[in-house]
Amino acid sequence: MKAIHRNFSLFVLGLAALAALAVGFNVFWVGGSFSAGPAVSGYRAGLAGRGAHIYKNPGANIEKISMRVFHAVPKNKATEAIGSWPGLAEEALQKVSAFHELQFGGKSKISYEIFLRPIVLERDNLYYDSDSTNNGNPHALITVAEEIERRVFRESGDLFDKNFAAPREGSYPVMGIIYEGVGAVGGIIYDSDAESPEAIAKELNVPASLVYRVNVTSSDGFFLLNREFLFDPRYAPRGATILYHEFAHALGVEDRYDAKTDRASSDDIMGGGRREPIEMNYLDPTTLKEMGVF
Amino acid sequence: MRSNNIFQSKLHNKILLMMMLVGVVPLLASGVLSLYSINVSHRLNVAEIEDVLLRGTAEELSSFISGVAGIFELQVSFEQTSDIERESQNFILDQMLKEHADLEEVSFISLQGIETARKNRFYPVGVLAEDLRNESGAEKFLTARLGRNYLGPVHFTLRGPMMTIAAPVKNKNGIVISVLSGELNLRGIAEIIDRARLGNNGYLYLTERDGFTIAKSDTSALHENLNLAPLVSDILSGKNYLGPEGQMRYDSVFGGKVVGAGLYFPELSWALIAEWPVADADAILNTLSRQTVLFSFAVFLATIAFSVFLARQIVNPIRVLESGAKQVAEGKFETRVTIKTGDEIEELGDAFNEMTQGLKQLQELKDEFVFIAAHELKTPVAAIKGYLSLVLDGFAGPVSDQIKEFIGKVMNANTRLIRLVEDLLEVARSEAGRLEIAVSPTDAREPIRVTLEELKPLLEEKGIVVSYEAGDIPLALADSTRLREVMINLIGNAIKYSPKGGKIFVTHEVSGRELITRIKDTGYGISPEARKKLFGKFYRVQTSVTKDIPGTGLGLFIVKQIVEKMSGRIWVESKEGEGSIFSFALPLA
Repeated sequence: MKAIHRNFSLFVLGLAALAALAVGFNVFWVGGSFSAGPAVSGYRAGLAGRGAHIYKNPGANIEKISMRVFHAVPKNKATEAIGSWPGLAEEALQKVSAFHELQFGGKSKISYEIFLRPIVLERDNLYYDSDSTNNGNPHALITVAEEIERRVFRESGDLFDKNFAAPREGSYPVMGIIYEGVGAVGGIIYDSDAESPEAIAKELNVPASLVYRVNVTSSDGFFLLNREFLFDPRYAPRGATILYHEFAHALGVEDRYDAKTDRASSDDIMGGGRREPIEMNYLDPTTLKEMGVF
Repeated sequence: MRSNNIFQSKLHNKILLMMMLVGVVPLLASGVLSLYSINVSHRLNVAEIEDVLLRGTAEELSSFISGVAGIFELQVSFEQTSDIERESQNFILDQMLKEHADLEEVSFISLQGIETARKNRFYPVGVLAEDLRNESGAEKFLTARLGRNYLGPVHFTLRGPMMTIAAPVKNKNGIVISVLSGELNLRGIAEIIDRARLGNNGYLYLTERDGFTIAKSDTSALHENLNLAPLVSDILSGKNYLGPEGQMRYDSVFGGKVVGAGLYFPELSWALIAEWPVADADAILNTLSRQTVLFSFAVFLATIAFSVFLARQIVNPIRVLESGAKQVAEGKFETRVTIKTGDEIEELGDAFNEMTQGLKQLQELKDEFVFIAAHELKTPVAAIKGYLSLVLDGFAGPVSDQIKEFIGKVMNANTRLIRLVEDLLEVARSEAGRLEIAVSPTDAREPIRVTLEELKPLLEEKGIVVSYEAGDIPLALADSTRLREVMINLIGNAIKYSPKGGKIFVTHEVSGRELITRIKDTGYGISPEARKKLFGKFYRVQTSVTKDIPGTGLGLFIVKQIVEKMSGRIWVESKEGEGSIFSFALPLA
């Protein structure tokens, strides 16, 4: 009987082994891979570890940018304030947001808020405007920004709005000023204990002529733009371009043209492209690389 | 007793295993080879399909780019080295924008690097003079100024991916007199990529030198940074993933496992990648593999079933022959086997039948000879017996003691001869069917008592005690004379094969419709091998103890014939050294 059982067991085992072999083979060949590729998780992890940041400063994250926009009108030009300005600005801001998101490949996004009422400044334009606008009228940017800071963001201000003034946690705050006057300028606001612009310039490794003292704590970047660039039909096709150009300065991005000769080193929005409609514009890859996009 | 379980036959199992080796192993090998071939062939096919698509698409893309670049290669028909007139510049730019919808902007740049005219879709009449740009530092100008065409990197705009193209404008003598520049919308490329189809769900995508997607078949994921995605960085570094060796399987950034291949554009530093979801690419492979496995399994089962059938076909006739041979061994020469296989085995069966026929004839001749010989011997030995008795009785004169002794020995020898002749005649009669049995309700006790009385001298001679507890027993159907003959044989054997001082027990038992009589002794016992042959003709148990005990070897054969003729049966139980029990059963009256 042992021989019988052994033979029959061998028969059954053989059958099972053949079936298993066939199934295993099928699985191996149908489901097996010829060569392995890198895992997708590595790709995602690689991108996740490289957040967008301000120009040449990986420590300042700009994945979320909170832009608060104001229409500032010197006291003597109060009658020229445009009540319907939010609607007019909205179109440009939408383009700017879309442009920014496209250039950063979705790694940085802008959410903007418009301070609906035009802000009539406390003084005449002569107070805010500088003698020369070669550098875009930084004096106006500083004085207007400080006044808005004081009147809108401080509790004692006559235009204080608790919700509007509240800090935008987790975002890079930018103040945008549509100014009823000459100017197109933008920059980053650094906290510094240095006593003089020269010392700050040394600290930041930039020319002292580009450093100004400003008392604004609600934002880390700000820009000012002549209202005409945005609303005047003469500049209409490129109004959003200029807005973004100045906004880019609030992210630390430098000009890509020589202000004296107008010679552009790039045709992007920071160079020759600043005179092109935003629809045709772009940010140069070398700039984006310095902002953590690549 | 042999079981009918098919797997108990060694020959059957051998044939089955041989069939599996001969049939199943090659089947399995061919199945494995088929699957392997299908896989390899499929791999080559997938690689070829992807290669053809990639190369075809790459050719289309190159043709598109070179076609557009060719538009910028402007050569005027005059020899002057000064710039083209503004009016002509504006005309040329208008025509370029009108004829090529993918051009978003075109401009002339003087040799000093200053734009002299620029038109785009937003400023169809041209930009203001104050907005003309100083391009003296731009790479496109610097490249074209040296007489070379410039294909810039891709930049991503709200109107889609664009590329800057610039080319020198030359005079009749090939001298560069200005630069023609433009912005090409790459929607034409997107259309080419979109047209490319790879199975049901496969797709292509194109990335620029930094790994950002310019176009993808389903238009999704534009300007997504894929520099760290599988293949992309390698391809952008100049490596191609083509052919079976280049083909890769990996998890795509767009989801799912894919079969990927890719191509590098050296002129533009672009990467064109094809990804084919494995589920789609391998759909036909899975179907073929499944069918092959199922078919192989079905053939495997059919082979096993056929092997079992074939093994049975071979083994069954052999079993019939085996059974027939055993019956012949038992002396049943009338045995016939029926084998209808139409081959040599059937011929073997026929030969077997012829052999048994011959054996039967031989047996009949032998029986006839034995009967005649025995019959012819009976008269002389009877005469010898009679005359010896007369001599011993003194009818031939005085007989000395020595002569008496000699004649006594002759008498004994003659008695054994008579017994042999009688046994041979009995056997001959039995085998000739002439054994006369007349059964009737019989009291079995009487023949037994007579027998015991008859054998009393022998019992006393060996000092053997017989115990017979007759009791009340029913009548059995038996021939009284033959029953006595049976008892003489069985008790006589018990006496012969028991040592002096032994004991014999005769008992009855009613079981069902049978009367069983048992003769138990305390003799030498019988081995299992001997028991199998005990009731055969001329068989005698040959041991060191029994070899000198006289006998013909026909007694138990005759007993068995007689019992069976009376519709009874006989059997023996024994253990060497402990005695034996002979039992026979007769039907109750």
